[in-house]
Amino acid sequence: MNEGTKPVESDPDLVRRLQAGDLTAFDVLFEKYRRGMLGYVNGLVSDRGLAEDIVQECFAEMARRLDSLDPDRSVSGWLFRVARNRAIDALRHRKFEVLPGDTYFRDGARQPATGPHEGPAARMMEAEMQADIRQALDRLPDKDRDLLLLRFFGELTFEQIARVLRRPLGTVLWRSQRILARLRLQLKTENKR
Amino acid sequence: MRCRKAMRVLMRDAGDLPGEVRVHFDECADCCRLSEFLAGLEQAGAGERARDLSAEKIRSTRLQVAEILAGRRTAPAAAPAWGLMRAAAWSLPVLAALAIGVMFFLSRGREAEGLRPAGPVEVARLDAEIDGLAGTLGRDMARFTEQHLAGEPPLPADEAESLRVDMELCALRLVEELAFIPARPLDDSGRLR
Repeated sequence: MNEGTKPVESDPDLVRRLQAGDLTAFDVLFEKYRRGMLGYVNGLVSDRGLAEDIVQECFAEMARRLDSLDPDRSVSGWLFRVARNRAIDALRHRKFEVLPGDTYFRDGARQPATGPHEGPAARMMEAEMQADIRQALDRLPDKDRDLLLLRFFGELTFEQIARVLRRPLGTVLWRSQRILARLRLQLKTENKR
Repeated sequence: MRCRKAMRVLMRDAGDLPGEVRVHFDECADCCRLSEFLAGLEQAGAGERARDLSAEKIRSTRLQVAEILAGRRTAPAAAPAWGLMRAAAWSLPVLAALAIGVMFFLSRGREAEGLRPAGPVEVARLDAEIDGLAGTLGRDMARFTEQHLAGEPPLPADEAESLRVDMELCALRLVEELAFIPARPLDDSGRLR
């Protein structure tokens, strides 16, 4: 191990420290999960400000319910599940205002902070690809889109996704296979046009 | 035929999965569009995760959590429990009345379409059955893929047919999710007679 490198503390240990009132444990968890949650929630609600509010509320909720959290169960699963429920509630409230996906790529979320793509041609190609992705995602059923967002925006493993969705791992794997088949057909059809 | 290249992109963390689904996928020459789409999605996810909460949001979340933790240390233990009980006492009858009302209106519409509400026991049974089935399917698919990669002959017709029937059964999940089951039998194409 390099000098000065801290050993990575496990989530259960962090939750135990947090339950003992150690705010530094919260900082570690917050740093670890907030970006993935933000990406995932923003993918669901297509509204950066709302996504930030939801992520903040999730962590506040975790602090409020600290006594009922079991450190040995997945805290990431718990956080993403709460985020998902909050996002769905938010979408229900405004479903007549904005359709999911409508503003999905509008705030430049797809532009990497230090992207390798420079120049107008590269930017145009990237914008085209983003538009394709947006259209394909929008056409997917909500549940399939949710799984892809958890996977690619939340960067969760399939086991974590299974915990978030409260489904057996086999079901999640089966669904991911089905999504691929559906996407493949969808993209093939588009290509023929 | 599934796109193996796309599967590899989707299941990049296959090492996190149980042994039976730890499959290595080869390059696929025929179906690059799907893998390009997933790679684009992966890039979009990385771009999304590169963006953090605003500095103000980070500060206010931390402050909010610190306040909650401080309050947790000083608040009398009985207060939250009493508050919860009082909230539950008020909300349970209201929720029950709402649920009955919603079910009543949904039932009327659904009955006209030839569907009747499923009881909780039926829903639980269907849920367990379909989860079990989907889990088996996930494992089967991984096994078939491994066999295929190992150069074994394709599935015999009867096994493929059995797999197809299993997948059709999984489509019943839709019905289960709506908590309604058909009051009339289905014809061969799965439509209500």
